[in-house]
Amino acid sequence: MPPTPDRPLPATPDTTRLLRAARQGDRTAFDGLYAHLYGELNDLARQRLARFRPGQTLDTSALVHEAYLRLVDQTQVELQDRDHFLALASRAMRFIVVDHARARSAAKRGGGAVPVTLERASPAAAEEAEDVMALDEALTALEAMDARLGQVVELRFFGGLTHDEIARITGRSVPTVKRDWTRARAWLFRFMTKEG
Amino acid sequence: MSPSPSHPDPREVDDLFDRALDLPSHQWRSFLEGAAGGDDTVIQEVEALLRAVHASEAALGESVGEFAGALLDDLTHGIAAPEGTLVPGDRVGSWEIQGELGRGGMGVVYLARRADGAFQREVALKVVKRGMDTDEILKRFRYERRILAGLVHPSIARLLDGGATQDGRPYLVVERVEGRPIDRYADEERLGVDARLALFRRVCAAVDHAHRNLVVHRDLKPSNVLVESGGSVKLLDFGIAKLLVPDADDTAPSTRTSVRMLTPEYAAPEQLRGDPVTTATDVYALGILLYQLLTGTHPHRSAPQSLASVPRVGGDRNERGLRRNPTRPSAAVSPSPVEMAAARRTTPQGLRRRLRGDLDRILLRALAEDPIQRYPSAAALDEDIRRHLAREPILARRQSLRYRAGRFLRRHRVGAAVGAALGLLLLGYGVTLHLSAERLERERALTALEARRAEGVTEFLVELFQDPGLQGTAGDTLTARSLLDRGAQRMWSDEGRALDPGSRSATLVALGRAYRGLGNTDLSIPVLEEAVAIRRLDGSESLALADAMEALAQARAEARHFAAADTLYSEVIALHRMRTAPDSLHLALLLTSHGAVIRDLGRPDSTLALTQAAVDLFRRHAGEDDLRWAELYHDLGYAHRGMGELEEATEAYLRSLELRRMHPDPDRVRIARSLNNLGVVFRELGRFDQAEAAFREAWDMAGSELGPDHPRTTVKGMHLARELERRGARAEAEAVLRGQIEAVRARWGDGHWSVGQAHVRLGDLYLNQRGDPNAAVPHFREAAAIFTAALGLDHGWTESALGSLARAEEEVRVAVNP
Repeated sequence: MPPTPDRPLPATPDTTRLLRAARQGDRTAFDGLYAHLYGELNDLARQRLARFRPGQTLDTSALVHEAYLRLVDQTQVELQDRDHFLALASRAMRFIVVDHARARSAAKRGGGAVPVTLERASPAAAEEAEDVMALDEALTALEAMDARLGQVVELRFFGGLTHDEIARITGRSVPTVKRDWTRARAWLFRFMTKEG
Repeated sequence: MSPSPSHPDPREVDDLFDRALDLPSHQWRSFLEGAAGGDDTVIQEVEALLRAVHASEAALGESVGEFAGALLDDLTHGIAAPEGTLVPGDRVGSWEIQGELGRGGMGVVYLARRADGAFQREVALKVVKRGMDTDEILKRFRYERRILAGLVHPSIARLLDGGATQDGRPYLVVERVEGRPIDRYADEERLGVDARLALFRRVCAAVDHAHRNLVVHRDLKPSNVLVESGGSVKLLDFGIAKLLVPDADDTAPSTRTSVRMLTPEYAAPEQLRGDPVTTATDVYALGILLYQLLTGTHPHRSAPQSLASVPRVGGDRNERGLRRNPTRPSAAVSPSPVEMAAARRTTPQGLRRRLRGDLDRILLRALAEDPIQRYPSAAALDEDIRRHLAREPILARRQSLRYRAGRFLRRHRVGAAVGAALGLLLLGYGVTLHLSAERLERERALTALEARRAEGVTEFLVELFQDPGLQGTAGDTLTARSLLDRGAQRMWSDEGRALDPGSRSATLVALGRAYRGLGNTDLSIPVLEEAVAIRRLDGSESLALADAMEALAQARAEARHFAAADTLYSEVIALHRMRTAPDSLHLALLLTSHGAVIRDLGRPDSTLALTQAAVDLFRRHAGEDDLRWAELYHDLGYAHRGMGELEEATEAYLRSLELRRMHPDPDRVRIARSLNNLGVVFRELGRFDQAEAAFREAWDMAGSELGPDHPRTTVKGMHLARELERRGARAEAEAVLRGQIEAVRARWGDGHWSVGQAHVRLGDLYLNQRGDPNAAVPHFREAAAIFTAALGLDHGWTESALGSLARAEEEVRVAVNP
């Protein structure tokens, strides 16, 4: 049956509880939480579309923050749980976008069946899909080189988090975060444009 | 990674890059040449990075939204807009789509609003997804529409409209509910245990309403039970509900194919097995809901788990094994930390204490693997929570030794258990027996036979008391009455309460019927109420429950508690209809009894319709000479009279009387009753002679059958007195009335309503026939006092007596001061 009309985000597994268990090192909870967030953010993206008129672009930052407000019981968590959540949600956001780019690209090549109305999609989106896939490869390379820089990209670029938030999550100063972001972005560009 | 000309060490590159960043661009070259030790590849790489700082800012931006806006737009549309999806601005019927609220396996839910502005509120509009519009799902959708249309309850989301979209897919428009799932609401509002229970009771009430309409929800879970900000509860999604009793022409979706529509975490074991779904299925889901509300955990899984381990239909054996034994709620609290308890305004220890005992038992009963072992209805679960909150003993009892011994006794001494209606030999027997399991097992085979025998004994005893022929003298009545009183006392004592529910309720029903047979309706009511409560909570077979309820309904109707009787009859009839092979004749009689009650509630047209339906039903199953026709004709007479159709009423009563009088052993109590009613019709027809004759015969017959002081006798005497008054036979009328007052007062005391009636009649006699208001006043005053105490100030009889009193007093005043 169709889900609850007004709050289609499922109440289970309880995000708050998973979050706290994940912080305490429960690996199962961590995996569960990540998978959970992936689905929730997808749902949320669709809901935002319902509120926005077509043509408005998805704001991942608002999405991630809204997800936190809606999925986590604020009275039950500590500040570091929030950081943990935002980091995980940023990562989920990354894969939602990249997975979509991949699926889109495959559909264009006549590969898999993707529930997308192609006549509605813009040519720009097709190009961007290729760009996003290239960016993801670059990010993977960056992570291999320096995980810390990779994380900043996830938090900043995909999660849309502020420098202050990233500073708290990573335990570094705001100037360091700004500088890391500048460096990371340069590296990404470099990886993406390097010949061969 | 070792440095080489073609592959410079990225760490070294990054380090130089980092340091160069602090410098103005014109110093980069000299810095790098010094720091990189002349390695050109390193220098080139760092320089490329330094240039990339600005290039990357322009190319990538600050976020993926800037970088790939069109792709993200495509992403959201890709998720939200498969073919056939409606977008804001689209029209569906008279509704305009505002956006999308969510989607499920077979449909999309949109936010919508009336396009013409006639209705300001936002609604939820459900449409079957393109591609999902198979016959099966279309049927289900139409079906949901029918179910919702029939369910009107403040706690159930209302159906507002429905129809088909332009491309032919059906849609439903449902009240939009803005609320939080009940578990989240309770936590966020930090409700204590009592408040959670009170909230949950409202869910039970809504589910019970659906059950009374023969609808099972089948998918109760927190996301379907929302609480609005004002605290009101709303149940959503009767989507996979299934009517318990399909209409004859019904094409309800089959339950088998719907198995996959359920939510495994909240599904009852019988749903997972694909067994038939009943109201007990919802009771199970309610149990899970309550368990989560109280403990914050799922009964079959107290630790949080990942999505992957959600049980599936036909899950492995281990999964089923887990389900069989839910953790006791009070024990489930242990892994839950302090915050969980704090959300319930208590500590983990406090919560454990609070759950131990009653709530443990209530939940384990609701969550029993076997549907038969669960509460039979949401109302029964609700009742036990009410009892718990009111600190009354709950009915979900543990199977203590005492309880099991009681059960054994029931099997062996059922005759005695019924005899307990008289002497309660059973309790004198003691319940300290200890029996081995094997022995209990061996006895089981005998049980069925003995139970049947017991029923026979019960019937006999009840008939014994109801048979007017055995109540000839006051002495006998007293003996029977005192036996009953003793039986009732034992039933309310600790001993009686310790009996197993089956024996206790059977005895109570027998007692209630016997009291009624003796005319002590007031005493039969609490006894029958208790029997009904036990059977409701005990999960007794629906027929046993219906039987007790029918006895109670009769008593309530007799005590003129018509609204209560109406509710009871509705439920009894529903229970009978739920049976696969209902006893049509019995059902017909129930319909007419219900009809009579409805007439007294002021709906004579419904009465006639019900009675005629009963006659039609009866005609299909009973022969012409079936004596039960007499009862039906009597009821039909009553129904016609209510509609003012006096000739038809007369004919019906005469046919009833004819049938009864033909019987070799006529039922004189019922003949008297029909004669009495016929007399009333004659009076209304202005055939006063015939009326007087009918009343007189009825009064004589009832007096000899039931005794002159029986309420059913005095009613007839009252009518006779009125006819006597009418034709001026004052002396005889007064004698009848005074005799009535004496007889009734002697038996029932001064406060009985029949005494009041006699006083009214006497007052009327003095005031209207004799023109003696002084003599009338004390009678009216007495009547008013009795009615006020017995029936309440707003009862019609009380009002009428007070009116007569005022009139008589006014005449006295006028006579004194003309």
